[in-house]
Amino acid sequence: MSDSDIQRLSSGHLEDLAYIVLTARADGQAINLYPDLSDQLRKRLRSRIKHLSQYDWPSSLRNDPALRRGFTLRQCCRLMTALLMIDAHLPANKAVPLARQHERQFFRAIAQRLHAPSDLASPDDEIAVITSGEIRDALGFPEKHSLLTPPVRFIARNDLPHQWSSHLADPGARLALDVGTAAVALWRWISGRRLMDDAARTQLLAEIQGGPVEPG
Amino acid sequence: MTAGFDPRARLDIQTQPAIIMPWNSAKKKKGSDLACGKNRNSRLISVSFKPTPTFTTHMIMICQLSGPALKLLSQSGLAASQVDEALTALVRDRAQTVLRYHHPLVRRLKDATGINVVQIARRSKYLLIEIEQHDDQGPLWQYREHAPRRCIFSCRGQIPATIEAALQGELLERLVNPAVMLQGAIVQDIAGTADGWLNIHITPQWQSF
Repeated sequence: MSDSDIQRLSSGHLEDLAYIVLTARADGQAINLYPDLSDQLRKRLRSRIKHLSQYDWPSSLRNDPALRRGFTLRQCCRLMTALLMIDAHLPANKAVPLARQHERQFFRAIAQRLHAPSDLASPDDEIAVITSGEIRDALGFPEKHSLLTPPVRFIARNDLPHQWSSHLADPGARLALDVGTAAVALWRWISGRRLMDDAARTQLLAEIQGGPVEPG
Repeated sequence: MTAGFDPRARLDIQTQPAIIMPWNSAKKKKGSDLACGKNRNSRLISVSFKPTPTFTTHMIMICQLSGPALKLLSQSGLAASQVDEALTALVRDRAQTVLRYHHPLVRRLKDATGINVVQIARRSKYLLIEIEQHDDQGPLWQYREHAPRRCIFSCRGQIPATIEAALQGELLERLVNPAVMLQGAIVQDIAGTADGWLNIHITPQWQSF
């Protein structure tokens, strides 16, 4: 497949995308395809996206020269994970490396839901749990565990209460991100407006299973 | 006698420099009375020819509008200049030059015509519209002007590749039964998508206003 065949979302839609992703609901309520955003809110969303692009996220023109024509679905999903993190007040210099290092795992959680975007949230969906307390990291508190416990773990929705008191019982703050639900909202919005066709989704799913193909 | 000689024409040539002289050739003729700064007449003339300060670039800006957009506007009783002014107001507010879905003018278009106009953007003197028509099941047909030379009409349907090639350069009406406003657009090429839609690259007529 040539480069020009990859469908792209024009950058004019990115603010809407950010809003849809950040207001995604797990109960499967219908999405407002045309959100009414004030100029002030648009400005804030735009500045966040611009802030992430300073960290070459989701990609940079050097890595993907076609970025000027828009974002691929893969890049939209990358942007989504980082947006979710910085909306939870994680600084971008922390959020982007986390999203970059654990990209494969994030995409696996996303693919789980994107296989059937019309389905509702299920108990087996993987939820990303981020445990990277600033003070805790600075103290090097659980020294013996620090290498064993990665800062991002993926736990099934139903296991969450159980794990909370066992594996996740380490001291420090925990941040749970439902990337699957956000990805489903993103796709419902894209397909509702037909900004990309279904080939983009199936192609992304094939890529996730087969490893990265696309540049950047 | 010289053929075609018109004495008046010669007169014009002779008299014209005499009118321009006070501000145009003053430096060359140092000795003349007109070049002298103290001469009251020369000053009066040069002042009266200064451009007025109310002149702005917006007045000479000629925008282009596609045929479909023009038909939509005329159906809903709006002038293209009204849309243009609304976009200029956005520039003053330092926002993007895009009238989005909830803008009153865009809503008026939808209410008057029933066509779901999603946005009107202005990019380098072109007003670009996007239409997304829905029904109960989902998207029905769409028309997007990404750029003046990249306008895409898409709808559900599949046609054989031979007919795709034959339809190039034909009117869009030959292929689909579009809304009245899309008449007159010429098909450039047709591409089918994996999920049974057709993306038809068309060239609408651009008109200046």
